[in-house]
Parts: sequence; C-alpha cells; structure tokens
Amino acid sequence: MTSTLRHNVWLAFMLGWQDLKQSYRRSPIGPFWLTVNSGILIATMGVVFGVLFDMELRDYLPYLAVGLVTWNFLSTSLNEACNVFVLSEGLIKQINLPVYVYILRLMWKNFTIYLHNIVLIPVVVLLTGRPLTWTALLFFVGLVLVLVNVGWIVLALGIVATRYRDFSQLTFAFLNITFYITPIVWDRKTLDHVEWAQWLVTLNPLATLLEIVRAPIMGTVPSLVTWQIAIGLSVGGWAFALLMFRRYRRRIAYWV
Amino acid sequence: MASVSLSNVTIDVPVFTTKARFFAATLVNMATGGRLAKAHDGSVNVRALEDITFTASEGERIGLVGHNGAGKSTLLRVLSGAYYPGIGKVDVKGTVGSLIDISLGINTEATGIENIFIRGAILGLSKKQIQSRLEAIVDFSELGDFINLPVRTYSSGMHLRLAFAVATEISPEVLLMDEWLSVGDEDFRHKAEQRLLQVVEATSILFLASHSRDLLEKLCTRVIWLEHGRIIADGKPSVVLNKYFKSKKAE
Repeated sequence: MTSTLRHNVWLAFMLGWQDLKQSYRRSPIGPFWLTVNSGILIATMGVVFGVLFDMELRDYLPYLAVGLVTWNFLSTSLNEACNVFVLSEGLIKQINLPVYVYILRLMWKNFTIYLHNIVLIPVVVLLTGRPLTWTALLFFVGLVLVLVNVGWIVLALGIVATRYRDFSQLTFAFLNITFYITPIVWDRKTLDHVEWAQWLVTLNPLATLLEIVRAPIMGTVPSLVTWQIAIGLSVGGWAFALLMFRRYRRRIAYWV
Repeated sequence: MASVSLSNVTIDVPVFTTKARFFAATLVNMATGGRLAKAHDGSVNVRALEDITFTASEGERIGLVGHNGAGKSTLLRVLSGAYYPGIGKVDVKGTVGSLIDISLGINTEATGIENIFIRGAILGLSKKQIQSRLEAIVDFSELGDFINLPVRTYSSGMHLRLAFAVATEISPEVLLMDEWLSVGDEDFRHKAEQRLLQVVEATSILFLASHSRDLLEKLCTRVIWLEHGRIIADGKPSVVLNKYFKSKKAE
C-alpha cells in the first residue's frame, strides 16, 4: 500500500516537473527566466506605486515582493485548478490513477515556480537594508498553511469546474477583481479609518493567506485573528473538499 | 489467481448539452424552477452498458465484438477501473494493464528517455524497473541517438515505436486491448508481433475488442457480443462469431 503511494507521488512529481519544464524549455536561462520576470515586475511596480502612494520604498518593496509572488502562486494555482482534470482527460478515462496524483502534479509545478520567485524576497529585503529578524522564520509556518489551503481549493474547484466548464472563466474573472480588492499593491493600514474596507479585507480569505506569509518578512507576528482564520479555513476547507470528493470522485471520469 | 466478475453492471454516461456545462445557465434554471427544475442540469444520460453480468477466470482470452457504439470501449473502461458503475458490482482481482492507447501520457516536448520514465511510471513500473530495462527498451525501439531528442522531432513511425516499446514492458494479470497493435515497417512489425504475443501469453486474462474475425478466432477462447450495451451472446468463438458475422451480413 505504501509502495503504491510512493510510486504515485513520484509519478505526480515527475509529471509536474515536466509541466514546469515546458514553460521554460526554450528559454536560454532556464527556470531563472521566471525569477527575472518577477524581479522586473516587482521593481517596476514597486517604484511606480511606491511613488504614487508616497510610500517609503524601504517598506514598500519587500511588502510588494512577498505579496506579489505569493499572489501569483495562489492565482495560478486556482486558475489551473479549473482544468486539473479536464487536461488529463486521456489518463482519467483510460486508467484508474488516484485523484491526488493530478492535484499533486499541479501543486508541485506551481510550488516550484513559487520557490524560484521566493528567492527574490531575501534579495529585496537585503537591498532595501531592512533587518531580517527571527520573526521572519514564521514565514515557513505561514507557507505550510498556504499550501494546505491551496490543496483543498484545487481539489474542490477542480471537481466543480470539471462539471461546469464556465467555472474556469468565472474563476479567472473573480481573481482579476480580487487582485485589486486584496491588499497586495496597497496596505490595509492606509485605510485604517475606513471601516468597511477593513471588514472586506478580514473577510477575504486570500488576504489572510497573504498576510500570514507577509507579516513575518515585514518583522511582525501575524495577528491572532489571522492565525485563527488561516487555521479555521484549513480545517473547514478540507472538510468541505473531502465531503465533495467523497460524493463526486466517481463522477469525475464521466464529467471530463 | 486473477479473476474478473461483473454483476448487473449498468453504466449511464452523461452527455452534456452546452447549456448544461454552464453553471450560470444551471443557476437560472434552478431559479426559474418548475418544469425546468425537473431536468435541472439539462444533461441526457446515455445508457452505455445495461445489466452486464459475467465472470472471467484464469486463462480466458475474451474477445469483444459489436458495432461501433455497442459498449465495447465503455466495458474496457469499466474493467480498467476508470468508470465506476452507478448500478451493479465490479470485482477485478489482479493487476490490470492496458494497451488501448499506447501513446497515452507521452509528452512531445520531453525527450525519448524522459518519456520512457513518464510512460513507464503511468503503466505502474517503478523507477528501478524502468532503469533496469531502459537499455532494452531503447534497443527495441531502434531509435538510436534520437532517444535523447524531444519526441516532437520524431516521425510518426518513430513515435509509435517508442510508445510500443514502453507499453509492452508491462506484465499485468488482466490485459485490455482495443484492436491488435500493428506498428512500424515490415521488419519492425514482425518483431512487434512477437513481442505482443509474448505479453498476451504472459497475462492471465485477456480482453480484446476487435472487428477482425481472423484475429478473434486465432486468439480467443471466448467471445462476448455486445449490442446497445447489452450482452447478446457469450460463448465459444466459433459459435458467437458465426452468429455475429451472419447478422452483420444480413444488414
């Protein structure tokens, strides 16, 4: 039983790795193309919005860097989740591979891209001359919570979007809007006096997932509410996704 | 001991209208209620298999015949475990292997070697098993140095040779095939034929869907005739094939 599990995990990683390679196979600098790309984006947006919002670049650049690369990981994962089964139609209709193979494949690919971009975070922090404190290590705890949550969202979204194909467009549109109402390029602190905006952020689970990895890099411990929401979301989300999985997993092969 | 047993298996395959694929449309349907709510998702179920019952035991080589759309492919999907029946029970004891689509999972951007690992892993071979057979697979495929190039640079013949060489590395207890595989030029075809026969002989139970009378007569010990998802006849190849091809001629 465990050897089957090990084999399937190996297969998922290999498939995910191939998917990743595909995205930079014809680029001369290989995977670091992804890093360079994000680096330029952070630098440009950092300067433009930093000046626009009249922010201290020393604070703003690291803030933006963590937010942006983590957002990219979240949004790409969610967008691709809609096609996680649809794109593997051939495999799903021919052989009986466990569903987690497809989930892991997608997550492994996107997490590896995220890792290539995470490299930028210490670089930006060092360049801006901000001190990195021990608190920064909480980033990794936050990262685990982010991954746990992406896992259930990919599973649930994957099932629904296989049945209803317009979920893919809905998700894309939803994420496009969410990018603006989530504190990524702006800081919720600047809207301290606007009560409804504070509520909007608190109720936005993606904002919580960003905050939990961003606060440690900025040298602060995420608030108790942030932890509570992140953990509650993990537990509730997985319970929901597993219920859905139990109910519909046999249908996936018919729906793709 | 490998065995396959199906009892009262019925498979309904949903065929979605474009509208039923859209969540927005479904919401509207649900909101308007009434008559629309009855067929709320607008999907139509096609009964692909109906009340299929049979058992197959060690040593049987079962041919599946029937017109296109009779349910042969669906039955193979049920046997592979991809389709779980809504009604009835499927009990397959032993490992299942499929030679239905030998190119399944091949990534044309990846090299031949990489694809041997991907395909091998999909077929259930471990990394060690693949490594130990790597040389033999490369030899068999006759790809030479091409094996280190992306598959997209291959001719279609080379592509198939690679796919065939990996796919026939399996040794399942229950083997599923949709038509006989015939690959490559004259020389290779002969070699491939031998290899395929070896795989077939090594398995305990074979399911082979085919339209070729010669092939079925040569290979099978039993033939199941499917029509509109039901079993019309099940028995000795000579008897069932006679009936089946007679009815075909009569049309």
